Amino acid sequence: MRLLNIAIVGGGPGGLMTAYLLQQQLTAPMHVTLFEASERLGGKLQTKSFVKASAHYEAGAAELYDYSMIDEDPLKELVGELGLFAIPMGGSSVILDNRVLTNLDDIQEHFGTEVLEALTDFDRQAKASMSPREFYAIGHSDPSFSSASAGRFDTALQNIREPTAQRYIENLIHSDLATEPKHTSISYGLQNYLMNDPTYTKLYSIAGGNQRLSHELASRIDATVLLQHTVTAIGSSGRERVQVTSSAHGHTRVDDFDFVVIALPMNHLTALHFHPPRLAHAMRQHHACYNHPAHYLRVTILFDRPFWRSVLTDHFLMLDRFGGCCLYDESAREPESTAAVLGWLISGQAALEMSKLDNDALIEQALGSLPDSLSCGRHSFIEGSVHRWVDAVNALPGGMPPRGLDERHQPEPVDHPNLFIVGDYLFDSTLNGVLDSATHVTGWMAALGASDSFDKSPETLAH
Amino acid sequence: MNLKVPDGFPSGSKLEQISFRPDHGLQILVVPITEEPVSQLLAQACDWVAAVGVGNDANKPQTLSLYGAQIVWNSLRATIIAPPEKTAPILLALTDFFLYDAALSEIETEIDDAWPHIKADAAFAFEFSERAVPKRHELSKRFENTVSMRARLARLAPHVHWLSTHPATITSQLNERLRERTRMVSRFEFLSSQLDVLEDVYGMCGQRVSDFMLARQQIILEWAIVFLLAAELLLVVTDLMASVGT
Repeated sequence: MRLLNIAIVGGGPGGLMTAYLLQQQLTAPMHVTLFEASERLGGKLQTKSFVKASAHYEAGAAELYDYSMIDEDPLKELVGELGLFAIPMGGSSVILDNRVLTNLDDIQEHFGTEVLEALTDFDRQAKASMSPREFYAIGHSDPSFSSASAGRFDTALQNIREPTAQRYIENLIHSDLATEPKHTSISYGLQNYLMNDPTYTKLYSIAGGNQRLSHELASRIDATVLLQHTVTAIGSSGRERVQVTSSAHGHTRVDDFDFVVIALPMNHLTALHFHPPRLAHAMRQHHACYNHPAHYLRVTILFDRPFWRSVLTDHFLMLDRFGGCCLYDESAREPESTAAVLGWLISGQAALEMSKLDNDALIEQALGSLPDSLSCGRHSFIEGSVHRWVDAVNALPGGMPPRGLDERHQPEPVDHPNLFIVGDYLFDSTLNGVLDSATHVTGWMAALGASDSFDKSPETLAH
Repeated sequence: MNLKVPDGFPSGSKLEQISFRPDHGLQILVVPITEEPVSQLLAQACDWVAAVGVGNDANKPQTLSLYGAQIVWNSLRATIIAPPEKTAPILLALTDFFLYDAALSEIETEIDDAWPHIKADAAFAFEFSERAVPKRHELSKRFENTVSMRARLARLAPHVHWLSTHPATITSQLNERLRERTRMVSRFEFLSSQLDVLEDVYGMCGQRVSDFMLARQQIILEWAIVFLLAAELLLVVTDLMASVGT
């Protein structure tokens, strides 16, 4: 039996999941080479600690989504399979005009019955437009059968008759959207609203830090991992093989592979040179379909005491600053933690504009954004850190117009059927989505790898 | 029912007595607050709650902080320290929660009481003898208790497995947190497993007792028939002897 030579470009969650699943699913012998441009694996999974205290915080992906109450949840199963523990996360508070709104009672008390009714009307309409099962299946369905509306989300928000109710919803979901409502679809906007309802999805993080997911995956994969190897070009090398050109420390290497999986963030695709022109054209079209960049900026601050616990008893709340930002109690991720860490997840246009500021200015703005009742926290400041994720996520995951599952993952099926793409932006810009994408591609490759066309190749490299 | 508020709590506080059963009630002290800090009040509330059920670990006061409201409770007393506008929905949530928690605790106590008998009674599930006949009413009573516990547990199921509501109200949020803190779902499942065992044992005991009593009746009937046949035979023989003599 022939040894399949497989390249995975990108050592983030998508690349690691692809390598792990290939090991499980491919029946043919294989050798995987994983190219990673940076000096570490894990990509957006980054759990960091401060210099002045050993307090951990998430600098990248903040949470994972739990769908197990609706149907199979491959990511939660993977987390369990890797021996990791899930810590449930929750939060329902929105701070609007310095008022803490944690439930309908608070909304009625502070803003009156009309705002309450406008909100419950919107909630009813959102739930009527999408059941939990439809929500679960939305990324996997054929777009030709999809009932999801292609209109922009700001038009849906304008239908809310009360401006305060509209502002409440904008602030509630802005950090999940990572963009402005006018830049995303009604369907995606509603999904992000509905994910606040625990019957649609629940949130969790991983005990010890979300980065443990990439660590555990990396420790289980059998692959040649090439760190600090930047892939510069991908093209065909004839005889149904794909050529990968990479450079490391000034040296260029060229390798041929039976399969190549590109598992890069969408904004990194443009840095690669694709050849021949047919592939380059297909990749341009692929990029154009998903080129709806969204942005994040994370400001995380270590304090000497958790002064916010009288207001924030959940894992996070939404602040009406920076267009709507999520404020995480990072120290609540570990129940036994004695640290005091708050994390601001700033998103969309505000993140794009503020990312140009230096770290000190951003930390100052974050401290200044605390509501009046928590402004005393400034005096408890110890250390701050900033992580910029400009263009790192997608405002219209799944593409516009939405593509079928195979088309998303195989940009040029005629001359380059061995070139696949894996990415969170092909589904829903979450870790769950990137696993779905990797599962689709590895299943496909497993079927191709087991087919006769590969088995009878003259290039038998079995050792 | 309003009672006298314990000393040291601010004016406006109310003490209410809620009875779930004739032998079980709960005192809830409602303390409306308008300004921070509440640490002094919280310590007082803990002392007041801890003053009942001393010596029983299960009655140690537990505390919960929820969006500016503080709740301290054990199975006999509870204190709500909250802004005035929140006390009514919190009281509603607490009453609702304690009603179901008390029902669950009652089943737990009954199962604990039933458990020591099961080892001795399990033998009757395999074999029931004449010597055990006086125990059959006791076994029947335990079977009835088991069925009663199962029925009450089944009625609690919708409240224990109640889904979170969205958008949330303070009543639903508090109810959810209290159910989480008191591990209501796990306790429900443990009780269900324990009841499975009791049902198996007393179901089989019932079957054995029933089989034994039926067999016993049959034997008595058979002996009665034998006795009657013997008596008839004796009469026939006596009659025959008399006729031979004449």
